[in-house]
Amino acid sequence: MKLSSKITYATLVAALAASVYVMVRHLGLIEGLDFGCGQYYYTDIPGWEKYFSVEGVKDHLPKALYFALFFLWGWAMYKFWGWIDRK
Amino acid sequence: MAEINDVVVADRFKWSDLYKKEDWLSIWGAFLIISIAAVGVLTGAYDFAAAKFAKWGFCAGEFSDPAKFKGLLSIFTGSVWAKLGLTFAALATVFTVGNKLEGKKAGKYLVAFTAFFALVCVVRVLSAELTFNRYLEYAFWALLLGLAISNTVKTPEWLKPALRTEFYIKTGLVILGAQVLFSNIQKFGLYGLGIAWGVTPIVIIFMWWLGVKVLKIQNKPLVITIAAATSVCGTSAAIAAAAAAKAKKTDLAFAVGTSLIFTVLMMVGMPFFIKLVHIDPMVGGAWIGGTVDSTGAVVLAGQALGDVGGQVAALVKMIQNILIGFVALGIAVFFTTKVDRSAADGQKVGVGEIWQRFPKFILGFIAASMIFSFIMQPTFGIEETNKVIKALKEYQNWAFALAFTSIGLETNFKELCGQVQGGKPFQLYIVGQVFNLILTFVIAWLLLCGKIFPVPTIAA
Repeated sequence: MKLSSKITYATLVAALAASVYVMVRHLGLIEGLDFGCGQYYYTDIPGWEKYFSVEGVKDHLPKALYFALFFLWGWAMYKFWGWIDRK
Repeated sequence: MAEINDVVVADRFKWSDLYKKEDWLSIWGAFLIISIAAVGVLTGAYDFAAAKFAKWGFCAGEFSDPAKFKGLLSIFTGSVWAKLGLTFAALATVFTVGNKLEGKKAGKYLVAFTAFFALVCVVRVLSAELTFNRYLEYAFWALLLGLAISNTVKTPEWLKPALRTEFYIKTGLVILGAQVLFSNIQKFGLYGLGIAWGVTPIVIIFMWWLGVKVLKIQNKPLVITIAAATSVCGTSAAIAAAAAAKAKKTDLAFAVGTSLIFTVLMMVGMPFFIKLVHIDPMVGGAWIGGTVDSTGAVVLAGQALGDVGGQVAALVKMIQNILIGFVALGIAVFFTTKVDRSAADGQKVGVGEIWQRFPKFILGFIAASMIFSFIMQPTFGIEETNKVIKALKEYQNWAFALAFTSIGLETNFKELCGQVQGGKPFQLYIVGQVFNLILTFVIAWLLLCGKIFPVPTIAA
């Protein structure tokens, strides 16, 4: 077995043991907050509106600018992915 | 290439596919559920929300307030049974009619689905246990219970008609689309866009290069499923990417399992490290929001840094959640035009061929997201939209729980172990996650440290 495989398996076993330890000891939880990493998506969280229906940052930039940046970056990255794949 | 009945995707397109094929049937079924739920909420005429089990515990000590302790039997109230009946009726109708239209035997399916639904109820009851619910939830228990049955007593033949993993995944994804509000893209200004959308595609491309070119993993759908789970938002993104890339069911199980283990560790380890080295809570929150896979873990780990850290983490993750549909769309187009093409000896793929190969349910996902973002929310307001989303979300969870249980029931350990390939997929996840951590931290620090751009004021 290669050294890299040995390190990978050792890391995985350590991660598995550590995650079981975290769960058994109830680590990382906050009193009063009734959720954790079992809530995969934002609407799974009890009372999610409290955390996600917020204004966040107020700016005066038009929404169209956000959409333009979003799609331009997405398009550029898609092209980059294709280029990397061809190399 | 995986055999066609072993992948999470659609077949070739014909016009009759609109009422005969799984991809389209999943869209119509999901939109039927969405429409009924929306009408119920907006008119106030009825409550169409699906069943959800209350949290229970093995002992009172598990509860922060022992007076609120609930044992297993106490969660089976009259209203839960009524809701279970409604959930079963809605899902059985959608999926049985779908099977009938596909030309399968509806009677056999319904009998199998009834027993299968009961099994998934066990999964959801187990995952409602207080500690299990916080750390693992239904995907873990669905896979575990399914694997336990299929590898011990074997999955009975009569149950197999109900094991329609792809149908459940596609239907659940279209319902999930309604919860993806694109209008949230602006909520953390250009900071959020830079951290969430700036980093995510770079991590995906890095992991693709690492998996395909460096580690030389032959199973490309597995590579992209792991990459999406790492860079976007864990389980939900893995499901969407697996379906878009025609991944095998074991690929999805592998990616989700790995993500679940490391999310538990990152939820605890990241706030500890951030506080230890005195990273600014805003930078730390953005770092957590951009890297921790599950949204629940993000909010909890962010809150460990204080209110600002918690809110920034939630805002960044909210923007990442928007990306699921677009990332899935990009993956579907990429695999249709480039990966499938190279598998077909580099033959040029025409527009018609691309359309035939394209997984159509993604259009349903995007359509649901667009309708809720640009029609529902502006017309009825955010509060009413949120109420509809609340009524819908358990249907999505039931559909995914059906899918993961089905994967478990169809998988044997030998097949799953075959995925390990000398540890290469684990190496891909670990190195990719480290790259994600470094890049997200650099971008978050550059944008939020206050030395280059003004520090944003967070509005509650």
